[in-house]
Order: sequence, then structure tokens, then C-alpha cells
Amino acid sequence: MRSLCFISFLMSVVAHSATAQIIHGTVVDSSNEPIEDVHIQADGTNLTTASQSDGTFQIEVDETLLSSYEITLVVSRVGYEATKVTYQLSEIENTPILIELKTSVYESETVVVTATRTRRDIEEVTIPVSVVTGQQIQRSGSLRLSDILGEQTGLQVVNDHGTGIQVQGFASDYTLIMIDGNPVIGRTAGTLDLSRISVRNVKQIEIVKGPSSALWGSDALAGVINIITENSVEPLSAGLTTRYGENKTLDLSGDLNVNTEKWSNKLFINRNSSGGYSLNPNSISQTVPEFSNYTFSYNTDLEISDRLMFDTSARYFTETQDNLSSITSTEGDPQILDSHASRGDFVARPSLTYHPIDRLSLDLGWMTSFYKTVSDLEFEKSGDTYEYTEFNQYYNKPELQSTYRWTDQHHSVLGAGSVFERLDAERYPSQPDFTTRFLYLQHSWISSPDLEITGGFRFDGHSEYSSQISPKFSARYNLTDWIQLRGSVGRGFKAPEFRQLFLNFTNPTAGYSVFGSSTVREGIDRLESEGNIGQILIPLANLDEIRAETSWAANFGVDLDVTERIRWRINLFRNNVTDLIETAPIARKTNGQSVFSYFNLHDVYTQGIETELRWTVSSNIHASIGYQFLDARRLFEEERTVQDDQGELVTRTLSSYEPMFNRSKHSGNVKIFYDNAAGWGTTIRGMYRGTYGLYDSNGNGFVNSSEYEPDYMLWNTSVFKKLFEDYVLQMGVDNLFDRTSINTPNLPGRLWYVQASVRF
Amino acid sequence: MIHKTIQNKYSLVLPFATIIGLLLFSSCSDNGSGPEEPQSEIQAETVADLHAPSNRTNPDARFILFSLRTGQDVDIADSASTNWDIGFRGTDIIVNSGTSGPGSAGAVVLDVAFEEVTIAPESGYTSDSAEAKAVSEWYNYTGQTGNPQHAVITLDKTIVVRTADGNHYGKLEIMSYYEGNPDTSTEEFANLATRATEGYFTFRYAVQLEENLRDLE
Repeated sequence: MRSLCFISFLMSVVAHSATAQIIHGTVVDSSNEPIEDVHIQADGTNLTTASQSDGTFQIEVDETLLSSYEITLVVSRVGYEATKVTYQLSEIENTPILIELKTSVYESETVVVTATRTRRDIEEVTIPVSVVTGQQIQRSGSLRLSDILGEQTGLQVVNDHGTGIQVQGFASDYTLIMIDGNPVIGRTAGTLDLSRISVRNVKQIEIVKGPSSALWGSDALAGVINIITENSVEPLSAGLTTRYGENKTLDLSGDLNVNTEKWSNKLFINRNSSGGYSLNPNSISQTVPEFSNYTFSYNTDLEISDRLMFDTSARYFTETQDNLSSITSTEGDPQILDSHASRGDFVARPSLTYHPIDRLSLDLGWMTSFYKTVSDLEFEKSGDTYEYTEFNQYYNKPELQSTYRWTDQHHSVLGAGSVFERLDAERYPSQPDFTTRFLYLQHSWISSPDLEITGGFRFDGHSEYSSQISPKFSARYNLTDWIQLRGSVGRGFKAPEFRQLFLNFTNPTAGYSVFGSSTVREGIDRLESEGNIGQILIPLANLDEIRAETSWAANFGVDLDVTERIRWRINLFRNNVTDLIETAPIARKTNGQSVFSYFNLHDVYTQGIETELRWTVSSNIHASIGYQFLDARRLFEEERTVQDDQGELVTRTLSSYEPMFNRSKHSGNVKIFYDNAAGWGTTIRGMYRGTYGLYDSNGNGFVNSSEYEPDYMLWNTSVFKKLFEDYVLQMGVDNLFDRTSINTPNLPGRLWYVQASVRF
Repeated sequence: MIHKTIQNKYSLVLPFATIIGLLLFSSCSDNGSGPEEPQSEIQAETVADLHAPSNRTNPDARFILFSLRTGQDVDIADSASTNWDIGFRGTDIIVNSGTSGPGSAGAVVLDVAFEEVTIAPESGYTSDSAEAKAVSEWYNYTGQTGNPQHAVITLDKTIVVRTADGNHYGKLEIMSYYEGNPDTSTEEFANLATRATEGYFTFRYAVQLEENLRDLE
């Protein structure tokens, strides 16, 4: 039997060499563009191949197939409808074949970079990416990043020294915000104010939830939000948008694109101003002060040769704010202060991209950035300076990234770089700086169109702290042609910030003080010697040294194409966080205010389910409904003095996980977008926020049933009409039912606006 | 009351007591002729709106002294005696011992509800000292960000007190720091303009009048 097998094997080899036929072909899409990585299989055999970047492929056909006259090829790729094509072998013996693939209903032509640091189809990546398109942003009438993010499932706008975003129950400190892959710097009390970022020139916003430190390093603990700016390919195009609305809000945007075959330029300018508004009639300070700001951005791409590209992007933002505030003088009478504040940030990143060979891409870039704030308080009557503060942050990051495609099934990304940061501000008298050196490696194995596995890690070495290693593994598996599964396990971290270490600040009007963990001892000693400390709440001897915050997280999700028109996405998440840093009062001052410092809170977990159903009702109507269930709890270990059976005193440690503040268990949204051939369109979007704890009335650190704020729903609507080809008129109302609360300072009440735009 | 409990226990363990008694009766006979069981006598009261303003606005404000044993205020002129057990002035509470008075008073703050404290511990009492008062963590100050703002909210704690003579034990719960023991969750209370005046203590206590008996129920 064995010898028989051997003989037949020999025969087959002989037969093969004698009669092998190679089929050549190309796979293209409906616009005749080649498609790479298409999986091609000879039906009924295990002969497979994948198309190259130019769409070509070849299959060597063996004798078992040659004995028949026909061959059937099964051609498939994620995002395209799989097809079977049958050929007469004799017909294609010397003629290359052309196979056209149709895009599947949900092929969005969306390419994302945030998931893998390479350009990949959103349907293929191993971690779920949510994309908000520029069209959605325009139709929703969003001006600033906070406007549009607040309408997305699983994202919650929160206010703390600015408007931030909560992701998977994490405060806004834990989400990395990027513009074209460059991190935006400049946070106040951990919040990166999203109203600094205009979304007028945005192609898409990519949202990745769950830790992404394995690629992006510190801050990407809860997720990453990457804003991809618009890039026109037309030789010359320009656009202008004007808008006026409630609270004297004026927004003007213009952009200009000049492109030649090898050199492209885009310029964007935005001016945004508002008269501000006041939600607290008892305060002379406006809730959001009068402001005006400008954004300038410029991007250029120059193709030096086929293999070498030069790319520079630069962005500058500047804003001034005017407000009033009051203090009580030592004699007890109130005095009014004029407040002038300004802030600005700048980022530039020149880079060179070089392809020494087709499979290798090298990207060398240097990002330089600064963030600056100035606050000037003057007595209204005398004009004398009450307080003047400046804050300057500098950030420099040289980085080299290489992407290598070993085969069609194996892709690697390797990157390394350094970050140099420095602070120059009164609140940081020691002018601290620190350096981070990082290295990351990621490998993707595309086993088949149905299975892809990605693994990687990143090493971050800090000059001030112990090094961090952040691994992440993720996988996508297509169970059937309508069920996609995705899962990931990863670690995220966030290094202690400057303020958490070095802050030395006393609020001049309210009178409270905040110290970093390195400055708290000195600060308390000083306040005590000045006789300002009423009561020490946490003795200095009990303070531990602060540590980096870390998290392990698991995400598991499924995308169900329930029908051709309905996609249902479900994602389950769990984050186990240790050493989360938060402020807590450490002492009480004699003026009734507190002294705060930063502490590692040992255990926090957040878990939940996020789900979204998108329904293409017809080609004119798109509807979606989203919901998030969130359970965010912090571990409390409290020592209690109780009695034993004999009545004697014993200390028992009580541990329990208790709900955290400012987290809504339930939140969701419902949206309808409609447009028709006559150029009319309308949207209506409703956002629900469930009850959440806001104020710790009894000071126990967690939310009790009596501490919940009521739930609310916001409705935003807009109508637009296209005139001729180039003009769009739009009007809308945000917060239709005029909900206001001092607890949601980002909501000024009902806002109407009218807008006109033109595009050439 | 405690006497009754003991009798009940005896009736339950009667069979065992009989057997053990048969074996040990002669050695135990001396104990049987000891003094009588002390009789528990508990006085329980609620004191409403004891006015004890802070010295923040009036530097001359004195402590309001109180005797658990008599249930009466004690004049400040009598402060150097053991006639008072506990004193109030704003959010400061003192006991008659250590740096605050000549007595042997002591206190312990239990994280237990008032009703659940049925016996005073034998030891663990602290006196007032220059560093810390025996009773300090009896309230939460909500501060600027609290809701209601700048309010003194009482906590679910029980203060067990040894009286100034060192011979009696009592338990005490502070129920309110505002005049009329108002509901602190109302709009009226949240509004600083309409909030009830601070510095008015409403508290309840139970004191064992029988010397050296620690039962509080």
C-alpha cells in the first residue's frame, strides 16, 4: 500500500511537471482600479493565492484540474461581494483573465490608520474602529470637536476645566486626541478642551476604544480619537463657510487647495467667536466667557521621486477670552476683576517617506509643538494687576517608523523615537522637563480573508519613572459572511502628568490650593507656618509616592449584517485599572477651602456593553440607534471602628466596589439623516444621558442613591438645501427643548444658527 | 433588663448547669453569696436645638457644656469641675478630660448606628489632647463643590462617652447642626439665603445611670 502511494506520488510529480498550467489574472473594482490582497481559490481544491498590490495574481493548476475542461475560481475579499467565476481552461491558457469585484453593501471605502498605524480597510482591522464622516459632521452642523463627539455612541461629553470626552467610563484625561496622527498637547486639569479643535476641514474622525498604548503610548488608556483632515485631489478648489447663531456665535471658514501632479497644498483658516453665555444668574462671571479664536492650518505633500515623499503639516490655534470675576477684599467688600485670558497651540511635523523597495516604507518625522496660556486678572476700578500667570508647554518628538510586508500574509510595523517635554510656568517653579524614549513593534498575520491576528507591544522609558511595556493582541474572525467577530486584550498606561507631580497653585479668587505629589509636603508646611491650615485630613507621613496609572483591558465584539441594510455592532468591554490618580482634599484651610493633592486610587474597574444598529432605510434615509451600558466602580477600603461580641473596639476593613461620579449607567442616541435628489436634506439627532452622580454630598467618595442628577435627552436638528451645484444653505437648532443646567456648562440652552457655504 | 436576660439564659442551660453543678457545686458555693446584680437604669433623651455657635464670627463665644448624667446644661463658670461631660462650640466638640477639663471623660466614635450600640466598650476611650480632640469626625463639610454647598452634614456614627466622673457610660448621636433639625436635601436648605441657622445641635443620647455598668440597652 505504502509503495503504491509512493508510486502515485512520483507519477503526479511527473505529470505535474509535464502539464502544469499557470493562470494569470488581475482583480479590479467597479472603477477598474486594481485590488490587492484578494483571496483566490480554485473551487474544490486547496490551491489558493492572493493578489498583489497591482491586482495581479497567478495560480499554478495541477493535473487533477487539467483533467477537466473547466476551472472555477472563488474570489473574495472583505468589503467586497465574493464571486465565483468559471473558465474553459483552454481559453485562458495564454490569456490573462480580468475579474471584477463589486463592493458589498457595507463597504464604506473607509480606510483607517488609527488601528494599526498603517492604512487599512475598516472592515479588515482586528479592532473595531468607529468612523464619523465629514459629511455627517457637516450635516449635523458641528463646529467644534466636542459638538460631534457628544453625538456618538459610547462617548460622553463631560466638563472639568474645559469640555472633554469620557470613553468607556474613563475621564477625558485617558483618551489620546490626535490630528492626522499627531497628538494634541495642552491639558488643563487633565482635560484637553475639545472646543479648541474646529471640525470644518475634517475628512473623518476615527475612534478606537480600549487601550492603544501598544501603538500610541501614554494617554491612550481609554482610547484614541484621530481627526483626519480633508485632502482634496482636484487641481484647484476652494470653499467658504459662514455661520451665525445664538449668543452672537460667528464662524467663518475658508480653505484653498492647489495641487499639481507632484505637489499638493492645502490651506485652512477658521475664525470662531461667541458672546458667551451665563447659566448662573447669581454670578457676575459668565459660564462660558466671550471669546474669539483663529485656526490656521497648512499641509503640503511633495513627491520628490517615485520613492521619496516630503510632507509637512502645521497648525496654529489662538484664542482670547474676556470675563469678569469677583473677590472679597480683606475689608470684606467685593471687588470686581476684569479677566483676560488667551491660549494658543502650535504643531508642525515635517516628514519624509521613503520606499527603498515596494514592500518597505520608512517614515521619518519630527513633531514640534507648544501650548501656551496667559491669564491676566486686573481690578476693574484701578486697572492694577491682581494676578498674571503664564503657562508654556513645549513638546518635541522625532520618530522613525518602518512598515514591511514580508508576504501578503505577514505585515510588520516597527517604530522608535523620543519625546522631549518641558514646562515653563509660575505654577511649576522648578521648570520641570522629562524625556521619553519609545519603541514599538506590531505584526499582523492575515491567515485568510476570514482570520487575521495582530500582536504587538510598545516600550516607553521615562526619565522620571520606571519603564512601561504595553502589549496588545487582537484578532478578527469572520464566522460567516454576515458575522464578524473581533477580540482584543491589551495594556494601557498613563504616566503621571506634570501637574500631578509639580503643581503648586492657589486659586486667587476661590482660595483653594492644589499641590503635586512632589510639592505637597513643602506646600502644606508653608501654609501651616503661615497659619492657613485649619485641619489636616491626611497626615503627610501617610502619603505614598505617586505611580503611573495602568490598565488591562479586554474587548470583544461582533458585527452582524442582519440584512443587507442593517448592521448591528455589539462590543463588550472590561477595564481593570490600578493606580488611577485623582485629586482629593488633604487639608482644610482656615478660609473654609481645601488643599488638594494627587493620589493613586488602587482599583477601579469599568465594564459595559456598547451597541449600535445602523439601518439604511433607503438610499435617502439612514438611521441609527446606539446604546451604552456602563458600570464604573472604584474600590473602597475603609477602616471602621466597630464592636466585637463583648462590646470591645475592633477595627474592620470594609472593601466594596462603589459607583463613580459623573458616570451614567445608561446612555444612548437615535439619529436620522435624510436627503433627496432635489437637494433637500434634514437630520434629527437625539442624545440621551442617564442619571449620574455629580456632587458628593456626604463626602463618602462614592455615589449614593440621593446623589444622582436627573437624566436628560437632547435633540438637535438641521435642514439644508443645495442650490445649483456649489452652494449649500443650512439652518438648525441644537438643544431644541432648551435644556439648561449649571451642571452642564457646555449646554447654553437652545441654539439656532444659519449657515451658507460655497465650494468651487 | 439585663437581669432578665441572664435569667433566661440560665433557664436555657438548666440541664448543663445541673450536671456541672453536681460536679462543681462545692467549689462554686462561695460565689453565690456575692453582692446583688447591679440594676440597669437607662435614661434616654433627645435634646433639640442646643445653641452652641462657633467662635468664628464671635471670638467671645464659649463652649456650651452639658451633663449626660443630669441631662442639663452646665454653666461655663463650672467648667473646672466634673459636673459636665461634653461641650459644644460650632463644629468643635470637647469632652471633660485632658486639655479640655479636669474630668476623666473619654469618647470613642463608632461607625455603627445608634440603635446597634447595646454596650459600651470597656477600653479604648480617648481624651482631648492638644493634637486631637476625642470627637472630631462627626460631620462632613460639603465645601464649594458639594450639594448642598458649604453645609455641615452629620454622619451615621455613634459617639460612646465615658462621663467626667469616669463611672458612667452613654451613647450619643448628633442628628443636626442646624436650627429645627431641617431636611438637608431640600431646595430651602441648599439656598444659603433660606438655610436654617447653624450652630444648633439636635442630638439624642442614652446614659447608664448605674455606676460602672456598660449596658446601654
